[in-house]
Amino acid sequence: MSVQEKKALFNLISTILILGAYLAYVFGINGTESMAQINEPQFWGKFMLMMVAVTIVLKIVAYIIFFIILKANNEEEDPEFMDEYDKRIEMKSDRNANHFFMLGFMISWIPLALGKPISYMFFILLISGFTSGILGDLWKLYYYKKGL
Amino acid sequence: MKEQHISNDIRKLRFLHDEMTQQELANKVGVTRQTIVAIEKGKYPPTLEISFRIAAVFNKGIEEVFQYHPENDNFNKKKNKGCK
Repeated sequence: MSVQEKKALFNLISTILILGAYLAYVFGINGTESMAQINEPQFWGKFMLMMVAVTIVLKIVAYIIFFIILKANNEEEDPEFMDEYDKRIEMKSDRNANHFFMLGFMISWIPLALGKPISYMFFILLISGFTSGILGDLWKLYYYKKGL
Repeated sequence: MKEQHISNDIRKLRFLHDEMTQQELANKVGVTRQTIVAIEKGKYPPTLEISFRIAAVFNKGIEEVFQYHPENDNFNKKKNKGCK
């Protein structure tokens, strides 16, 4: 497995763990408090901003650990180096992931149009964002295996 | 197996150059070993720039390293279908 494939796999696992932990914290540990405010736009504003901040910080920490593990295993390839093949794979998988998110974004308007609570829209946005992130990494692994 | 419309002799040329490793070729061309593997297997047609660099490593012309097979090219197949 190449470094770029390991990176995609690591990103996939870290995304699931970080977002899973954040969702478990908000809707599990603080579930009673969160569920009471679930239909307030202010709650979702705070939720999204906190999620972005937490994800960025934890991803940086996770990547530092990943690079240390690579160095410890005497990996010769530079994980930062991307050639034209890697860039094309990244562009194609990001494009697919973005298309999926756009679809989720449009679907999220349906509950609003039907007069459903605002939490439906944000849950659809959250699920489509989470799934598109995972699919982006899966597509990367697929393109590395299958080729372009 | 699906016939490739662009084939190459990189494996043979590496062998003829003292069994040059994929990593050595990758370092000379400026790509990763993974990319050389993909090019050799026909999974990825490289850009013109990389193709020239690979040919230059083996002191060959680009057409001696890469061969084009128009009969396997989907573009030509579609074009011919349209003409009928």
